[in-house]
Amino acid sequence: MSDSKRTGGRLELRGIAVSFPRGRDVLPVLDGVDVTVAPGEVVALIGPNGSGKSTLLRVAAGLLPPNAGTVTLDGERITEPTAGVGLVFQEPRLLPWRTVATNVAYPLELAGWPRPRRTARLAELLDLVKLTEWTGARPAQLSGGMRQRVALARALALEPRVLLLDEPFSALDALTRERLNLELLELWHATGTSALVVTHSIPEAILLADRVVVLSSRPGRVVAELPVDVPRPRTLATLDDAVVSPLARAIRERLEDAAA
Amino acid sequence: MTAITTRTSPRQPASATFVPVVAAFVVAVVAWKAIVVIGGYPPFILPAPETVATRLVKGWTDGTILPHFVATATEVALGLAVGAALALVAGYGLARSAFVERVVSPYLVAAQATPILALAPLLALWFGAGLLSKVVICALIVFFPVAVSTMVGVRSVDVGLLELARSLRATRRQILTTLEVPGALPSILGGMRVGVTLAVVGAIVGEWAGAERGLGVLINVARGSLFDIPLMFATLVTIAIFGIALYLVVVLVERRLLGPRQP
Amino acid sequence: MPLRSIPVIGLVALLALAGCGTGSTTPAPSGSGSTSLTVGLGYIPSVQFAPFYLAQQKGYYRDAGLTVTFQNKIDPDLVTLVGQGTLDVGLADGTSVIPAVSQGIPIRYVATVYRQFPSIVFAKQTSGIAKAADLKGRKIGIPGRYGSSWIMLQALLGSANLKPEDVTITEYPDFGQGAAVQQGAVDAATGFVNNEPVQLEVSGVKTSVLRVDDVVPLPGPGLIAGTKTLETKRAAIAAFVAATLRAMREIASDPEAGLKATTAAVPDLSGSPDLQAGVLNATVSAWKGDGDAASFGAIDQGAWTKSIEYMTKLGLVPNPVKVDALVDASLLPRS
Repeated sequence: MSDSKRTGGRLELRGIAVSFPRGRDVLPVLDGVDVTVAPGEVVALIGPNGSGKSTLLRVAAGLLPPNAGTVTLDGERITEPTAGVGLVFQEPRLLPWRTVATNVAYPLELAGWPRPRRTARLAELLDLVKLTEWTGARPAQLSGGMRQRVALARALALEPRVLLLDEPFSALDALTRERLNLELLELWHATGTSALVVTHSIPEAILLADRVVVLSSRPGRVVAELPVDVPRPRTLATLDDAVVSPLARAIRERLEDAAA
Repeated sequence: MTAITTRTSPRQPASATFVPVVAAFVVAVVAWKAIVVIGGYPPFILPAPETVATRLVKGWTDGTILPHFVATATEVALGLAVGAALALVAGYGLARSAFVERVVSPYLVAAQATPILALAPLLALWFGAGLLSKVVICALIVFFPVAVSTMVGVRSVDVGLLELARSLRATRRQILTTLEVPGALPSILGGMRVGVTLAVVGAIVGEWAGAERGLGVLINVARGSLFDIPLMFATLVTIAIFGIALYLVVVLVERRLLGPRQP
Repeated sequence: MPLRSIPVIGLVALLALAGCGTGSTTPAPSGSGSTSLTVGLGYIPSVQFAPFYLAQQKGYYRDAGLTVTFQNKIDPDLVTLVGQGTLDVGLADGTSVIPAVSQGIPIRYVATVYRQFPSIVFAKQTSGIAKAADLKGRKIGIPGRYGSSWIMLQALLGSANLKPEDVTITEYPDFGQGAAVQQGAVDAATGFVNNEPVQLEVSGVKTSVLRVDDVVPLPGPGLIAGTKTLETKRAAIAAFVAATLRAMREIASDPEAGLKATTAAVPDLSGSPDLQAGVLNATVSAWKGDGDAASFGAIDQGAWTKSIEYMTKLGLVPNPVKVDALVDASLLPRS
């Protein structure tokens, strides 16, 4: 575990405020959000619809400049996309005309890595997500779960210090989702990256995270932070227990308050 | 984790498409012959298919058609190259710049709406009766379909993918080469299918407005000077085959570049 | 007769090329029991068609029991339409009739209109070109390597033992060779005796004209009819020929009448009286050739035979033909 503390980065979001112009009005989406992800920590972000969770993630990724507030990774300001931050979207967003291999290698290609280095890293990544036999397949030939694994591998390509995941498995069926959550846990154990996961599912939040941050509805504000004291490594049994746990109830209560 | 079996349509055996195509051709030829026989048309009005076939072979073997074919093919090739190249650039500009689209679109549509047949003599007047005016006409006629299909194709590139590229700090050029070009390619090639056949039409129409050589010229000479109607029909068949061949080339290129992508 | 070929193909139909076109002018008042004839003149309205305008206006056709509708437009399909029977009569060049009949188009040439072959080579007098031999090494403008002017040029060059390779030929597919001579872009050009040289002379430029008649007696434009039409409407066509020749004789002795008839039929032409008069005079001379008005219409079988031989040598007669398959002089009025 100490290994993971070394490779993961520290992500700090301070006073993030975002509003979008809507005609003549202004729609405030986030209103002074503070979230910290300690090195190697997994933080789950949960909130009602429209609470600006995805927006917060985009700000953290450097894709959207906030109207107020700062984002730092290990002390450095983030104002635009950087290799230190990996992003997994809700949809896999694979290039349909490329193979699994060239999709995973896409960030390496864009970053100008020479071919031998690319090939080596690619092999590592495919091994990590257990897709080595599918290097030559096209996205159309893969199931939804496999495609997200490709997206995951791609997000890890440049060895990011923090991973941002936007409801990464919400489009999948429940069983696949469970299995992928476990794989995610294994991945974190292997790579030690810090992670900020946006999710709608309370049990999933408990399964994955060290800490659960609850956002209010629009304009989003942090209304609660609940530590998850379940020991690692966690299993599907953890998930089952999580559903009826007091923690789940606590989170749910906070959520309902926030939605009010 | 099991994969869904590939959803590509299995390659049909060659005979599955070949036989119906040949059968359709035979039916068409038989119908043609029937029309000639039943209508009692003389060869100087509607020659029978075998007469045209004979004249076609003769026209090619005795060198009547070849120099004209080369002239037309040159016009088409150059016109396609110029027109398509310009159209790709214009299409990209139209797709990515609302300003360009607002300013340029009306003129584009106006140019397209003006019949080439009316423009051709004007162009022959300005550019002379040589190769240049035909290349201009071909380029003009190819421009619109390829530009529009390029614009549509570039616009169709998934916004999510563009955001992905941005998140990976792709440069504008990298976005173009890794996302926009491959993403727009199906649409662009669709526009090229239309473009190549139109280019042949453009070359012929351009020749009618004034040319020394070409399949369009040969049609006129055969019809008005030699009174060799079978030769005129043979020239028409040559033009048709040329158009079909160009179309097939695009289809093959399409299959090569896009095939494994389905669906 | 100048035949422009700016054609329009449109659809490639498997069916017949037929088409009665638009563009008919001056339909005469029809009497009951009269035979109607559609006549294709093959070119846009011009003073060279004066006899037709005159005969129509003075009722010569009507008196002969005919209702004549003219198609006064450029028609690249004229010969074919006459052969098909869609047009009853046409005005076409003899050098078109020979290859047409050779290719199986069933027509007959029934009356000569131009005894002198009107396609000529012309040049400014200042060019020093006075005879065929003078053309050697010079620049000559032509519309294209086809048609009566190309045949005429080859014959003319041949008469001085020249081949097309011995001169520099520039093609003007847009028929700008007249302007080219005027601007000096070429030394000489092919044209029609009642067109370009007249225009040059009227603008004050003296021209010299080279004719082909002494080299090869090529048959000039005349009236043609389809063989089937001749079977069904023989008398009507003979009457049409007679009325037209009558109008030609009248204009030959009184050109003013021809000019008046033309401006009445085509008001647009009234703006350039000198030019029109010049064209008409040149036209009438070409009708006469080296003969006179009395022999208008006569067909010179010997000249046709020589022409068949010449065109066969040029490779334009794929299937051999004899004169009686081409001409039918029996419709000419017994004088």
